[in-house]
Amino acid sequence: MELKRDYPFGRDLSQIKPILIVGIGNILFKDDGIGEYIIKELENLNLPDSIELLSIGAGGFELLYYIEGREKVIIIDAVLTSDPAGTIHRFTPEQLKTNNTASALLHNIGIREVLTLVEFLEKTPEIVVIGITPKDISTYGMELTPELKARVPDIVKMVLKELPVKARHKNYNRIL
Amino acid sequence: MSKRIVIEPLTKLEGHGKVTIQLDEHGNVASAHFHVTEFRGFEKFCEGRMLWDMPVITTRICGICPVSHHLASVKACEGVLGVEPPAAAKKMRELMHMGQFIHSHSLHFFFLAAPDFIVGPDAEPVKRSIVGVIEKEPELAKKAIHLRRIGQTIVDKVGGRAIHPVTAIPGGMSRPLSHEDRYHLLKEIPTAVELATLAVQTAKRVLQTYAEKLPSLGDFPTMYMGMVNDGSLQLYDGTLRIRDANGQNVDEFEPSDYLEYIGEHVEDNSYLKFPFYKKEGWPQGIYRVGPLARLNVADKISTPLAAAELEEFKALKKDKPISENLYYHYARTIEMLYAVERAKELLEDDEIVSPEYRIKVERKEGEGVGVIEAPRGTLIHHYWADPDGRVLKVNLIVATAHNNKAIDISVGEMAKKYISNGQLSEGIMNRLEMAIRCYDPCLSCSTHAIGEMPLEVLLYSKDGELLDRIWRD
Repeated sequence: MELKRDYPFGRDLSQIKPILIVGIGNILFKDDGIGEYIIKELENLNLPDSIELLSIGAGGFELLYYIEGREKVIIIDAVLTSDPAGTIHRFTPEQLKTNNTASALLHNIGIREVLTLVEFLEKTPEIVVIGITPKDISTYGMELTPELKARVPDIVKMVLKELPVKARHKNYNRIL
Repeated sequence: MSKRIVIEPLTKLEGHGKVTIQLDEHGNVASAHFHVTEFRGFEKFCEGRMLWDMPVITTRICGICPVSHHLASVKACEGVLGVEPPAAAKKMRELMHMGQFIHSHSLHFFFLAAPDFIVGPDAEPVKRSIVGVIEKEPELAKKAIHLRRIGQTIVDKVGGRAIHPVTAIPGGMSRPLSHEDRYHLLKEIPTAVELATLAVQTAKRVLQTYAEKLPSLGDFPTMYMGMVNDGSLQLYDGTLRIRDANGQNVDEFEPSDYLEYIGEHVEDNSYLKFPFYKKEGWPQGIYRVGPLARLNVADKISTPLAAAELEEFKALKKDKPISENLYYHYARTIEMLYAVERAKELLEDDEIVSPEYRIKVERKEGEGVGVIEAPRGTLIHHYWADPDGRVLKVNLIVATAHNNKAIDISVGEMAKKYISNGQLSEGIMNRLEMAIRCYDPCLSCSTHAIGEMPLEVLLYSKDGELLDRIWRD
């Protein structure tokens, strides 16, 4: 599925949608694709125009360009922890910079560097990372394990709860 | 907390790098090797899929050079189907490829390699990253970020997505380049030329300073392989040339005939095979690929600014190939400049917005080879398909495989130089990392775009007892 995106040239930050929800992960490796699966789910919800949905795949550093100029960024990725598969975590950049567990984010895309560089940009958004403990991220396969699949509705709700009031969906309360 | 937690995720593509060092009875280095996890699982995964899915699936292999896999794959599909895409499609693809070279090379040079030189090879690891460069040379860091953005924007506009492109399909492109996008991209070019020129100057500056402090990151003779077109550097389409350590052309062949020229050697200590030039045999036929190899095999470059830089580069060794690993970085910046200039040429060509960007294709049985110069070196995709278009077999040779032996040799040189009393230290870790990083192997890019390379070093006594193990995530 190709995501519709309008990323303006140059630095015309006024044209950028204020809220970005971005999924990170490689869909070739089962649960590693959780970020992209959640984005697909969100696409079906007809979210308001102020929200942009993006799957960044196995890309990492590119995230920086998409973060720039936003008010709020919600990142969805798998995270290796000792919790049972499907556990949902919420991290702030501060926690990511100091917490070893959080630094085990898959795609270890240099998230700390990206978050450091964000401060270096003109407009720093509020950033939240929703991390999901995977079951299998090392065998090839383009579908989620049953454990994670069962958690998809909860992850979607968790993401929607992060939206600022003004960006909430008209059916927000019904979904939650 | 166990550090293992941090290492494991990095094994999921090409794995983290592992170096094993064997000592002799005096505590000196007897042998040292570099190991990478096998890549072949992906080939099995592709079997049974439909041919036209391949350009989209293979782009997922890596987050840094997805365009190369996308384009090598679509070329292999077209080989199977026996079709040639229209000229406009070829130009759009090459433009997308140049966009990738600009962002991949600038990521590597400014964000991965430059910190070692600008911040210093013995600075603490956290500072030897772009964060350290920002502290020390903030203006340079800003420009690096800007240059990367331009490359990324080209991929985004031509490839349909900035990370894993989707627009190249068997027979051409899924959509044309709009006049508006062409205009906007052209507007970015003068800045890109300026920034790429700055990269070349920075490379010369840091290498000059650095060469006095530490003369070698590995220097040994090999053959070189790279794509050329009538002797000029080529990154998208051309013939593959092999040149020996003395600068003599020993062969030049059509990429589709690669099996006649390239053999794959197997060694017990590595899952990844070692490609070599068949006519010379193993190990005389060891060759290198990537920026240094490409400049070593090319006689000239077709764009003016990069051509002038190549002349200066070639003058260093009086037209003989340069064998020192360190010069991979310098070569990378010259290619970056070429990519910017070539993008300009392609954008100025009216054909790039031609409405004839796709021809219709029919399912067909057969085999096809797609070869492209990825930022890290020659990338080969080879597919066999049945009459329905189902993939029967896949063979991939990625750049890191071609360079596997050269990295292994480099590791040996560095280990011998920096270990004498059976002790490992952060110093040796940095030097090993810097030597390996010259090749920009996939293990550092696909799972870990920024910062330190995931690397594990194991030290064994002559009796095979594990003496020491250090690693970093």
